[in-house]
Amino acid sequence: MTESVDRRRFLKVLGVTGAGAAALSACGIGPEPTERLIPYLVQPEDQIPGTATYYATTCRECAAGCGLRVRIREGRAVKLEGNPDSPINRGRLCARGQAGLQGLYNPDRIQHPLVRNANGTFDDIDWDGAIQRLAAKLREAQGKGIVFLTGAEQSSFGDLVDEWMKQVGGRRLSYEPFGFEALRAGNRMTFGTASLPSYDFGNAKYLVSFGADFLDTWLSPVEFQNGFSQAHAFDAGRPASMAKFVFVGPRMSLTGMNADEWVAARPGTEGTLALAMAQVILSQHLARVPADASRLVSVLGAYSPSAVAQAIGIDADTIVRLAREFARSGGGLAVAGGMATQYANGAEIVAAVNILNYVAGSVGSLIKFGADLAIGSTNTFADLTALTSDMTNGRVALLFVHGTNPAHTLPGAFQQALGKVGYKVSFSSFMDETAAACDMILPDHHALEQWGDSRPRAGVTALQQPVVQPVFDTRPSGDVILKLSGKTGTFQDYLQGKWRTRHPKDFDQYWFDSLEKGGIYGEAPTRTVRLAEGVAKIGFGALAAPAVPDQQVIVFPHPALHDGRGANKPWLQELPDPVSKIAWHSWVEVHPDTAAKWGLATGDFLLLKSSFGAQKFPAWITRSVRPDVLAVPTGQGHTAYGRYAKDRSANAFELLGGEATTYGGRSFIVGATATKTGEHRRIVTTEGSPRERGRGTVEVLGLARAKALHPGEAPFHHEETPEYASDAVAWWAERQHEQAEIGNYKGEQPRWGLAIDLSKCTGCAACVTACYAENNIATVGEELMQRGREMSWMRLERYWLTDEHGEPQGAVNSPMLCQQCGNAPCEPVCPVYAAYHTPDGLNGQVYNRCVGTRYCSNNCPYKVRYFNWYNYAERGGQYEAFPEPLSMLLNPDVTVREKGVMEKCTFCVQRIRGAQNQARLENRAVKDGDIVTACQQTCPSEAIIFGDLNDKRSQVYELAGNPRGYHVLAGLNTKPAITYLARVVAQDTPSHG
Amino acid sequence: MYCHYSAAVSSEPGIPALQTCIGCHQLIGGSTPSHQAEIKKVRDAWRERKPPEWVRVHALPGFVRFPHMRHIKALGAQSCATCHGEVQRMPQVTQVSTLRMGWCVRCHLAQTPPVTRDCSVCHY
Repeated sequence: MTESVDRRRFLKVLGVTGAGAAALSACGIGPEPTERLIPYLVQPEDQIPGTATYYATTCRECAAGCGLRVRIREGRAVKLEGNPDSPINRGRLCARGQAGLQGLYNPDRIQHPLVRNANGTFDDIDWDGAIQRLAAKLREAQGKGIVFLTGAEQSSFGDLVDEWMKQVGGRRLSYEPFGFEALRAGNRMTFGTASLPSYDFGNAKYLVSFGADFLDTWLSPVEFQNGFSQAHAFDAGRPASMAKFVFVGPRMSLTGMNADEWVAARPGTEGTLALAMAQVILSQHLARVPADASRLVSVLGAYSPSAVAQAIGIDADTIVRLAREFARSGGGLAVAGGMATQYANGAEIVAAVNILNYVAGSVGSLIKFGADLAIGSTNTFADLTALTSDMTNGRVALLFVHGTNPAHTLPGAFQQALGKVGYKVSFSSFMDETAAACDMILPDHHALEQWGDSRPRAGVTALQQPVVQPVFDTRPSGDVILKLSGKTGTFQDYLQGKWRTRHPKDFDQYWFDSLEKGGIYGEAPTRTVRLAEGVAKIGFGALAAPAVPDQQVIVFPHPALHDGRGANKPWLQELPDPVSKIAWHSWVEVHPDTAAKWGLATGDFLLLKSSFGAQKFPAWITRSVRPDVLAVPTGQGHTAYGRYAKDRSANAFELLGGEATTYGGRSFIVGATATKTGEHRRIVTTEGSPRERGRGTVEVLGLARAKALHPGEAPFHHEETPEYASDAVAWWAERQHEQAEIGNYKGEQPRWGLAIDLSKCTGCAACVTACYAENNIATVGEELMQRGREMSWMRLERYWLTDEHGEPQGAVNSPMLCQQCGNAPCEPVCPVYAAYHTPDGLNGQVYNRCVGTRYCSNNCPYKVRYFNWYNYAERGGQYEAFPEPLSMLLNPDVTVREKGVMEKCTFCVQRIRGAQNQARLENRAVKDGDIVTACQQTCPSEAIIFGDLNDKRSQVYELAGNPRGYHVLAGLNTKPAITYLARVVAQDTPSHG
Repeated sequence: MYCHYSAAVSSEPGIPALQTCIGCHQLIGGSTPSHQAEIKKVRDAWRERKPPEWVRVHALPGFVRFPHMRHIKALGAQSCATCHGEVQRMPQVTQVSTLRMGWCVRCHLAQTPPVTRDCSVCHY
């Protein structure tokens, strides 16, 4: 019996010319190779093949401590979701959290212990041998200086390290490169307490951020973004409809882009502005001020708006207006952080903003001390520099490093100091710069493979449990430490022991309940704070301007790569930066006026040379930065850390000094000369157009106009169809639909639709990474992305919003994905019926029918169809996207596409079918809320709602009828299933260019 | 469904663990010499802690998603023979249906009322 050749194989043979007699199965011709099925010996109880099991644990990608629910399929972690039980992230997860999977299955993980040999390279060593050797080193180093360096680690593991260090006569330091030293010092100056409070963004009525990037990296971004969305989104049912957000800072970060107004204050003068606002509030009696604030009158006397306006660089009238708006809102919240707290006068700026909050009455209501944040208890940068100097002077004989990479963030100084340490041990899972310089590496389990807990804020203890078997021969560092300290038992025993003391009665049930919920979630009581004694004596000096010819260069944390730890994850590298839309490399932000002076174009390299180091960055010309300031992101420029991170672009930390500021922090603003090197590169960007130009892709409304809308109103004008096309657009489509016999056209089946509220979307791109994770989307790498071959099914389009002078005030972000058009241009042009309309309203894409003519993508006006130009899934291929073991994170419910196939968003059809199957098994109908797309599930702003447009009681139906709703490119009559709700800006006349 | 235990709740039928096989076959040794020889293989595998490598008989291509539980729900728990034949009487399991798409669609359309023939229900 001959095996007939199927269509795809036939076409493959045609394509393989002159290949000779290739092995039959290798090029896919001939009978299918025999599959073998190997069963379990003993069936695991919690696994049903084909269905998922979910475990609660904690994300450790940053110090916020968001809860996770991990979706496990057949023992592999395939998707991370937020844990709805956690009060920190409430079921939502950011892009960095989603990318945690790529840390677990990273192909460059250290797979077993390593020890440095006489030649300077690493040898493999077994665990017992390594621990024995280390025990000997430990004995030798007694009394000679033993230090254990961790990241932010307020946890049982941190307690264990503290106990062990006490036992051996050493000490522990916890170091975060973007620690919040200025916040702590500023709070101590104003309120007498160095702790970091929790902030209630959700109930704020007016928000001013002095540099604090609370949507990017500041403290607890997912929590704050969720709260921000509640306060700032347009809700016609509330008296004020929305809280206005003003951003004060020298560059627009992701947070700044979401502002309704951008105040580009001179760097270092943010505090002055806060004091001027406080002065206006006090002197004009605009708020019910606490009694002890009368002490401030003398301090604030010198900060009247007219006195300070010029120093800040804005009008006195603006200051007065801002102060009035802030106080009269009845719920003003001012936050200081980010760049504003990383100058030399950062602590004073925090103190100034604290005064503003105090005077407006937000301390105790929107700002609560008591539920303090744990990241406020790490050591400071000053402590790290003291350690570095101890190391350099030979006072550290044995150093342990866990969960931090100071050789990258403090290059030069720390790297050299490491050379003077007797013996260095790293617990890193990856060969980062610090590990590469160590003498022994005892790789820790990934956070998803081990037990642990963390206390991100007072009242909340997040529990961490292993959700998969360890991928490699690694060991939990807690186990190693217990062994070295001569104790019996594993870290799991230690952890349970600690938890048992908290609740000795009925411990087993308590433990089980905590594991199910992912931790213990309590509310710590608020404590009242008053102004400190010395508040009148704070010296609110301004930042000195740099010496000529230096430029002020601001180093800011990249929202996805942060301090560099995200650089080894291809999802994060491929994620375009929310502001610049640049991926895979760093850049320097230059204002067009400055660029014109220098004759600089986007892509020209600038060499930035400070007194500490020099690095070159390609320029990105943008109006989102002050003309007298240059800005560079951190994250790239690794010299180790795996194939995705190594030798890529430049390390911004090289430009910074190693001296601590007076408050113990680090200054992230530095004077540097900027010279053109003459080199040029094409930058890797996904930006199509910086401005929307009235094309109908986004709609923005002023607040007054939005409030005046009534149901049924259609305030948006769309493009007139030209004469020659009007027949085609109007007549043909309607005739087709009249003749449609099936499915959603007749109302018999659901019509799946999405509603995206642009007044909630911040552009954070968590949805993009979640989509990559859920749908097995390939990362194509820098070279292909430069050629526009990125595969992101969902992209974020960022369009600047400008004021009447053309200066950007913010940006509107629009997620663009397949619109699942009711009248799709891509369907009639597919010659093989691979793109077709399903009865339930989806634009279906059948991968096995697709022959790759790409006519569908050609015809798509939204350009949301993506073609597999290369075989990204091929093992060992040139553009391999899933090198082992990264392929373990692939979602088994979604087909992995091969070369020659078109793909696009499917509204997570696998989830739709899964919910329909489940409903059928349970003899019920699918209800609204059963199906949640990956983007919807992760969005911290809750901007995306999925549902059945034919169900009049569904949320999406209600939102689709909202007067703010519109369709993108509505004039083309594509009848999209996605309704966007216009962004509302709390300004009277926002123009967008 | 004792052996292929997840067929009624999942897309995957579930390959029984060796422990499931030995559950019966520790007592059931077989009535004929050929039966006994086969069952001895199971007992040997259990003793050596080495599960057998089954040769897959029914395999659909990777671009088809077949939900077992929907079909068992619709056709009943005794309906395995509809597609797989009388497996309980086969000395060695063979594939009796073509499992090609035309065969699937024909059965879908033969139901009253006809079951969906939408592409995206199986191909996504």
